[in-house]
Amino acid sequence: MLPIGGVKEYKTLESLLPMLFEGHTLILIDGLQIALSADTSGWEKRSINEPTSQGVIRGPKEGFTESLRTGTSMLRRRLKTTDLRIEEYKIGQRTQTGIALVYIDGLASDQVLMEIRRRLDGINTDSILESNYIEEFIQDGGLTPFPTIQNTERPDAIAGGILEGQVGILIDGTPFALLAPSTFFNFFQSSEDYYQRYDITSFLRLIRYSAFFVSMLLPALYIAVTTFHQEMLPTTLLISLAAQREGVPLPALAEALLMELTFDVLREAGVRMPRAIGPAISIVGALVLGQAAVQAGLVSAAMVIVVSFTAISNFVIPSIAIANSIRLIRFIMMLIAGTLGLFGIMSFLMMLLIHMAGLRSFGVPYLSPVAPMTPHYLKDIFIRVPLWNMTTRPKTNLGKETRRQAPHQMPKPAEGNQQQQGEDPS
Amino acid sequence: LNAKIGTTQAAMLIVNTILPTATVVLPVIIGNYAEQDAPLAVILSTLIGIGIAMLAGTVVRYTNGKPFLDWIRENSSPVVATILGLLLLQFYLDTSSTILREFINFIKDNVLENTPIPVIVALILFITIYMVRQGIEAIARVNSLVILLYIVYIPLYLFGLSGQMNIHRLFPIFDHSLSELTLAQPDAYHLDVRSEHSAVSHTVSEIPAKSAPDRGRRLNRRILSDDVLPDHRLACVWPAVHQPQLLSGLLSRRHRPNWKSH
Repeated sequence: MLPIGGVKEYKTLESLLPMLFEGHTLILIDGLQIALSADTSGWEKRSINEPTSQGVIRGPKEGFTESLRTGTSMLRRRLKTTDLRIEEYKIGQRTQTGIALVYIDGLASDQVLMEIRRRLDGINTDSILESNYIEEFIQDGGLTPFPTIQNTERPDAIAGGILEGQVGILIDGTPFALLAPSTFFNFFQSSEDYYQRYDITSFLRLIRYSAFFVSMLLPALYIAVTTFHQEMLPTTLLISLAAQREGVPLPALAEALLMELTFDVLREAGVRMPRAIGPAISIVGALVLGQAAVQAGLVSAAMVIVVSFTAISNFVIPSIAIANSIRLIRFIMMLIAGTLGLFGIMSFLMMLLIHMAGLRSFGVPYLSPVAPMTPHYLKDIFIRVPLWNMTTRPKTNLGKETRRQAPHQMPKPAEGNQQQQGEDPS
Repeated sequence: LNAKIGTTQAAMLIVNTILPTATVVLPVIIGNYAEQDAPLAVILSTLIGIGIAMLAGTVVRYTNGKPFLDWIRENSSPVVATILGLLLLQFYLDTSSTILREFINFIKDNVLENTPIPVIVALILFITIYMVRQGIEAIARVNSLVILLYIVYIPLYLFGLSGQMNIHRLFPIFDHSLSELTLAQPDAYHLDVRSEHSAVSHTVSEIPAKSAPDRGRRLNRRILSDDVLPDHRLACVWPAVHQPQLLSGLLSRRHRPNWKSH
């Protein structure tokens, strides 16, 4: 007798063959019109490692792997509740990729679930090789530069999202899982925000939002001010900038575009190059291109500072998805700044804002809870209040059960202890 | 445009409809006639605005919340309602064109001195069309964000102007005749009538809202949906969007937004 789990019955060859391709053992018995499939699959898989794209100083160091089953078990380890639901899909006619929809019954919104199921059912393609395939097929606002679904390779981030009423989507063959619905502000939250003190988290959140604006606007502002609005600069700074730009043959816009494109080339090369020679890129970028370009008089030193600070600010944003969006928007901003100055920048910002205000992620307004404003749910947006003060889940995800913990849990000394501790022991 | 916004968002929309006109356009026009007595002209036009809004509120209450043009159509004829609708349309086109031109002059004189006017016009209209295409819901959301920015902007503005503020510049008071003040205020009223009318209608409708909440809220929504929004839409978008449905919407109210709270 050999006990085997995952035994299922099948009646047709079409339903049986995919199981064979998944490594199951098929048992066909002469005279019976059903066949049995036993799960004996033993795929080679990578062991659990630290996430490479979303590291933390304090917090769990394990990330998803390419195995769907490993991913669901990592979530189950964190969410030991009978309400955890895992719905499985097979998408891709040729790849038959396993997809797991993970949520907590009672927390996730029925409307959102229904919509996600509808969109998943509507995918008709021959292959799903990575989570982005699913993301592009189901995300709102197909032509928007902004992501409306989060991706992460951290199981704790997915578990945290599920506990706030979001729905996790795990895809076999990739360590990156998806979280939906996601608002704009979700992309500025990191799982580490909840593993360290609320005051430093709040400070870091504000830094991230500032970095977002710097990353998007700094080169454009530099171009606009140096090209059209010199009167806005203090005289000494203006003279200093003018002296630096004196020998530069290019206008500020061309100078900025050249430097930004150079940086993007370097960045792309850094990703593609083998790790062993990766540091060479930074040497080439910093010394050869940066310093030599300034010395050769091709670009001004101020522009190198602007581009460097912009690049560093871009890396402050925890989500690569939204950081990449800003990279594209930055170029449009620069072109507009070079033609219409600050007025153009403000006009484009207004357009971006109105675009974002009209976006939705599975029915949830993209800018909520700021627009439309729900003051009660701002506790974890620009700053994070102490955990004992967050008694309710954010309503943005339209979850059903909003309360997550008992109120009035602020730590206080026990009655009478304070007086006793204050007494002089002598 | 079939979207939902809350009453607070609607109120904030009205505030921001008034403010830009009040800060950019009106001071120049009123100052030409009334000089240091400009505040008096503003008070006068505000009083007239309140009077007209109260009249509108009374009419709305009298007609049990029926849209003005529907009421006209039922009590006279569709022809009269159509003519009135066209006159209103002409009024809003005229007003919004003036406001647009004043804003462009402001930008041209102060910010983009070398940029040709058609470029600025095209840019502003393009943004307006885009905003309108996104719908009232998105506009209201952006508007609430802009109002949030006032927390930073207004103190900074006042701080910057503190050196320029001198109460003695408002003296001698009543230096201008009533006819000059009257000359100043129609311009102000003409340019800002849409916003003031809307705002005050809203305020008036709040009174029954406090005493009889359901009725007040109904009335409130009615006033907002029938008076403010078509005006707002037309004033903002007609020259750019030029959709025939808009006119039919004005007349038939088929495109009335749903003012349900979130």
